[in-house]
Amino acid sequence: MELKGERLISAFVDRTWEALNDPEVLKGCITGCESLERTAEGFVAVVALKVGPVSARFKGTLKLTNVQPPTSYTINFDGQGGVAGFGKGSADVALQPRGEATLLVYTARATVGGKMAQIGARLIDATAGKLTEDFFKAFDTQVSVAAAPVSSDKAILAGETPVVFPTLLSRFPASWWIAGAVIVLGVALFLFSR
Amino acid sequence: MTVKVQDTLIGQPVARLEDDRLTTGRGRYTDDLSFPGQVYAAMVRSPYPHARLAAIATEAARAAPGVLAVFTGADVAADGLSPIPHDNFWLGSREAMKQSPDVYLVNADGSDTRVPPHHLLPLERTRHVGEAVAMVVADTPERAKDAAELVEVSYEDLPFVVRAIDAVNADAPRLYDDMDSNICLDAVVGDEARTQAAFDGAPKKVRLHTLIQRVTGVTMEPRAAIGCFDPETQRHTLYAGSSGVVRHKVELAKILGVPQEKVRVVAHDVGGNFGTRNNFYPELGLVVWAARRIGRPVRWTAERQESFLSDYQGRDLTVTAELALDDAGRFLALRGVNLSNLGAYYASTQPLRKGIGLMSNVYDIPTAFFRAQAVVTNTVPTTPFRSAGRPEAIFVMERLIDMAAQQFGFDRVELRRRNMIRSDRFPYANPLGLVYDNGDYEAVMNQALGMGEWDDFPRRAAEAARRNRRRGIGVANYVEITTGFPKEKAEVRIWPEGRVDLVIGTMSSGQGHETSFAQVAAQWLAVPIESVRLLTGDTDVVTVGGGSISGRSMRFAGVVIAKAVGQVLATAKQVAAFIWDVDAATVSLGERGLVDAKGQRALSVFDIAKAIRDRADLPEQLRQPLAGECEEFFREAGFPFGAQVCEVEVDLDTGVVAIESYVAVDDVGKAINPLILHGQTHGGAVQGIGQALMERVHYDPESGQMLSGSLTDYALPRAAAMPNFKVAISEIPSPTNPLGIRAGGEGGTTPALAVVVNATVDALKEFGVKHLEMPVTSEVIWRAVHGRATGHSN
Repeated sequence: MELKGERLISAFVDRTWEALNDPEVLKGCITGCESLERTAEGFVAVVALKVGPVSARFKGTLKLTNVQPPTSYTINFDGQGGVAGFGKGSADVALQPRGEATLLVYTARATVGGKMAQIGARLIDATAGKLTEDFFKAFDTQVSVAAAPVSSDKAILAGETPVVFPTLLSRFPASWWIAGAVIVLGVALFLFSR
Repeated sequence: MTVKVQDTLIGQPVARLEDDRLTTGRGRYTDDLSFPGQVYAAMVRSPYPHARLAAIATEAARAAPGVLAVFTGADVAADGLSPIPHDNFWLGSREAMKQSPDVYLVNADGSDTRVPPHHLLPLERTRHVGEAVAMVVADTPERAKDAAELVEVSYEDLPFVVRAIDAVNADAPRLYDDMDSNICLDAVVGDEARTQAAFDGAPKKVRLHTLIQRVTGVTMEPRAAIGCFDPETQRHTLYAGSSGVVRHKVELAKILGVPQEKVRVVAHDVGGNFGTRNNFYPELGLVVWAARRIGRPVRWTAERQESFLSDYQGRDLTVTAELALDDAGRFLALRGVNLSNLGAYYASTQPLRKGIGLMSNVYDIPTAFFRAQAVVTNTVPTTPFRSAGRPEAIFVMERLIDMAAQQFGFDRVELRRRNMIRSDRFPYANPLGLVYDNGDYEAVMNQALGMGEWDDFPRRAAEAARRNRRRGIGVANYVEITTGFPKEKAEVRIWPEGRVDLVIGTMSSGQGHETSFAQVAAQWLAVPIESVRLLTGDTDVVTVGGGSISGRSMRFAGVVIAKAVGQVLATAKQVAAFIWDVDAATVSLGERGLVDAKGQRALSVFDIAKAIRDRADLPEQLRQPLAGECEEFFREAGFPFGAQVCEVEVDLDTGVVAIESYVAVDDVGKAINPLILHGQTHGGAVQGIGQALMERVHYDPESGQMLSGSLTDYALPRAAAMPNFKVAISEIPSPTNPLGIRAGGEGGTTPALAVVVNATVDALKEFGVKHLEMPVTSEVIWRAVHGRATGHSN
């Protein structure tokens, strides 16, 4: 099953990108995100969710592939929720400039299994939709009030801001992985109810 | 063995003796039992449809509070436990199966049926969502569940397949690496060449492709088991409901690798079976084995969600069938393919086998040819369920007839009447290998049509149309085969205190045996019905028995009880003759016991038992306890038959269908207790209605997940939505046993799928509806009416 969607973020592309880079911003947008750590392959995040009557603490691993900086990538997410079940999938995410705003476009595929699937896929629908909605609402709010200065293109060209091109992993900060995981998970739950 | 008395109890609608106890909380179910020192098991169940078990980390679970042990498939294998011996073991060797009246299915290419091993816990691969992969034992149920969450299983998920139509393909994901496909059985039945010729020359043909969907039993009592082990005697005891304690004992002994005397199985009240408890479950073996390992009684009771995930399920048969007719509507030939979804393990092909023999139903069809296939898939195993295989077969034939009538303009009743087997054609060999004993199919159909007021239907339909509703009426005939494990034994013992102990190898799970068996024994012994005590649930008492399946109980038990009683009476007559100093031939059985020739003196069997106990002057040979026993091997099948008529009313705006009238006529040969038989018909009909209109176990083909995992999503029929059933019993004695009994436990379900769908399609004929796939929910009806048809995602 596939789900496509898009969201207009009221910020410039680079500002959106910066906010996506900021783990503190993202952690604040994801209800229940408890921790995030780097591992050899990527990242591990722990997010606590309540889906209908099922409480789940998801331990997720995240991997980025098909990276086309700085506009698009694919996030692969695999989350184990113990007795509650599992969720895994991937999402293609792209950022496109829209004047003063940024259009975030996603296409996601996912599978959810275990207790969450068994005891009422229809109960997941409401939770997943709310999860996704809450994330973007909070993210949108955070981005439009973010006061942190952004390295401008001019500054980079002038050589005043060091441009670092390190390994793949550190180029795409933890926040991207979290964002992708949330998108994939929220979308997975939502579309699974179809 | 003649016990001819006027029927004082047999045939009477005696109110059930056990109901008072069962409806006031005094039933004794497995979970009600309590043992000193008992501990609790919780299962860790796989969330994947198909996965390699890479590793199972149990350290955290072992360290959790109150945990005594954690077991995995490696522990099972290390102890040398054998896989569960399913139907193929219990039903006996090939030779034994060939002697059974049921159609015998073998692979057409001559190869052996594939029976993959079903271990108590899998070692390297798990093959369905919900399969137990580990067991935690702790001192409270909550601690066991909490610790189960700490077991870390590393699954490497594998490609999976859940639908039979997908699994049968050569390129489908394979469940077993040592099999070259997922097909366990691929057999043919009937005359291929003759059927082909008949179809080639037939002017009229009608075809049906349908899935008779998977259902689950939802027994009111969830599965439960308690395992005990006595180190002194080395005896294992299993407390668990089932269809028969002897079968479970034999199977458990095989799994544990111990002699049968070292195993005892006990069951008290069983809260519903319908076939779901026939086959052996991993949890039953696990608690007994764990009790031996740990040294304390181990208990397990399924939660309702767990039942949805792990109870063996029913039906799931995909059929493609064709009927050939001549221009006058005479049936010329029948052919098709029946594809059975076995689930992840091969537990039973009884439904496939029984159904294939009955595809031609009560109709005289000269030739037929069917292919019967059974495949494994990544779903829970399937086993017999209320009238195993027969509702599926009857559904196909009765739908084909209605479709032919609609397509070619025949009257539905006349088409049936024209093709019915005439009552002078018995014994009748049908084109699929079964020989029906006797019956009058037209009479029961006429009776059902009369009770259902068939002729007056157009008036009722017109009246409903004025209210913007649509009425439909359907009819379905059936014949079915009841066999069951062929051996049965009864022991009758008379106690001077005024009690009769009746030991028999059947097992009631709600059918009222405590009453119906007491009726026959009490009448034949001329004692009050309350004095008869039925003993079935302990293998230390019941040594031989085939359980209650396939309508075998009264049919077999009646015979062996009668013969055992005959022995008792023979002894009693001799004692009475001695006491009265007369010839034994002059003593007969009266209403209150044995009477002399003039009917002046009478002695009840209890008086006789007292005399045996107290009188010192009795000759040696009469000083035995007053008892009798009889064990028999039954070779013949029973063929119950009947008809149902159903009338529905559809609300076009909502698609909701209301059942306005439901008629069932069943020929049971000889009715022991009409009240109980009616109850069986009601219950059977409700299970059929449930499948026709609302029930479905749904495994999503895309994810392999089971989505109908609770009562929120698995719809069950409720009493308020059911009509007042109009039931009647017909009694044409069967020639296959001295009592003439056919069986009456499953006839309510057998035609029910067909009659409900026939009626609903009839209601929607003006919208061009030709067929509806089950479950015929209000959404299905609404879409059919409004032209937005969509198939079920199987």
